[in-house]
Amino acid sequence: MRVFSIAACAAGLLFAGAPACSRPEPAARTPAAAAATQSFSVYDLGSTWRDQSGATRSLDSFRGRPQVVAMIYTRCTSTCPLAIVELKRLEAATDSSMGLLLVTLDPDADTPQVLAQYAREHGMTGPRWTLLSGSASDVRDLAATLGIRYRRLTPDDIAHSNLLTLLNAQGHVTRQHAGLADDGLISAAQSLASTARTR
Amino acid sequence: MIRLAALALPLLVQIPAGSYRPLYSTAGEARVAVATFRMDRDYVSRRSFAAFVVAHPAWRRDSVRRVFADEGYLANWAGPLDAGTATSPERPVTQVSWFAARAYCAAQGSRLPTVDEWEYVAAASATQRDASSDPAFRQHVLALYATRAARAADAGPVHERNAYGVRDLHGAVWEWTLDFNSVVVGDDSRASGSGANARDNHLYCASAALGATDPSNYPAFLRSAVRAGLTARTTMASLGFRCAA
Repeated sequence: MRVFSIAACAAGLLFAGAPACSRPEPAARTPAAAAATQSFSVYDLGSTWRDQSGATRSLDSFRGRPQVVAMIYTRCTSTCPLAIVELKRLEAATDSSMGLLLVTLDPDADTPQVLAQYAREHGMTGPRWTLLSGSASDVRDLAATLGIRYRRLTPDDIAHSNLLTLLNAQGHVTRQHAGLADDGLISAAQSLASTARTR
Repeated sequence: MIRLAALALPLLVQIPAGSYRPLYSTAGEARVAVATFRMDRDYVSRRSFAAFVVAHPAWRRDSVRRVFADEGYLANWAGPLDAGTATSPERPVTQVSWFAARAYCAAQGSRLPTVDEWEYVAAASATQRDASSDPAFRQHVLALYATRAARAADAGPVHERNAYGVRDLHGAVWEWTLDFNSVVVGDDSRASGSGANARDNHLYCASAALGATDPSNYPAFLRSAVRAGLTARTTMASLGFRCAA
């Protein structure tokens, strides 16, 4: 990433207000977790989706229960299976007060029926799991809000950030982590789940 | 306070179909095709955005949902509906988030240009449609980037028209694009399986297929670096937009 870094810093030095050096975005480049709770609720996006049962779900309907969120697509064979493994680790480390939410980056291909099949094949069944498909525009809105970058390279191939996001019960981002879930993410998820139980 | 006169319709420039060489591309794809579209001749001005905010109060800075814009949204205005007298109302609106820019364009019946569309048009010099490999043009663009702040303080903009007839793509502000959050990879991740490259491969599905086509295109690297630092809520004093259709 040397070339990128040099360009980013040059942009920041040349132009007042450029964010590249002074305000790094965790989702864009940095594997380190973002620990500070954000001031906005992702659920205020107000979009409406379909879950793996075909039911209509507003983002607002997730209020009240913390969630671990990942954006994937079912034809992905490299990092997405790793994200599933991490979500299942988080499932095992927390109880039912923590929801597990997968949102497709490829809504044309990943219909509710495809997502239901994917969930069955990967053992992601039960009330804690939600898999969502929506419009391409709503997918981009959510990805852009969570700081997830993606780009379709071929009809079957989408490059994308491999990012896990923890949302508290109000939909505020409390932590993000790129790559494999570390102990910090797991303990943060346990803490959120614990908070949700005591309310 | 800027008087909110009836707005003239924005002048859209017809952009013919063609192709350009993106900074990053997949292996074996040196050029990307761009279909014909229309692009605003000019950036969106403070005056035009003020009219939009009046008509759509949800986008006032004192009522916008925080998920749609960070705390800097329109913070450089004198008031929620007052784009200010200190700066010319014809200057580009800045401190607007991607959501706000997109909503503005939608209200005009248009949309934000994609990265490919924007870069395709931005490759044009005053005389050539594809001047991206012209060292003199690259140097000129870099000089524009480096002197924006000083020129913004001048009495008025000096409009620079490119070969398509689009103005001030480089000389005024950075501009939002619809898919600003496309994946970018800073160097060829196929080159190494260790160190930083290994981490990159870990972060991105399929990133091994992406590489920089022309590392000497420094202006394009700068634009890419700025986009890489943005989220949909980000606002900056040097970031505005124009619409496409």
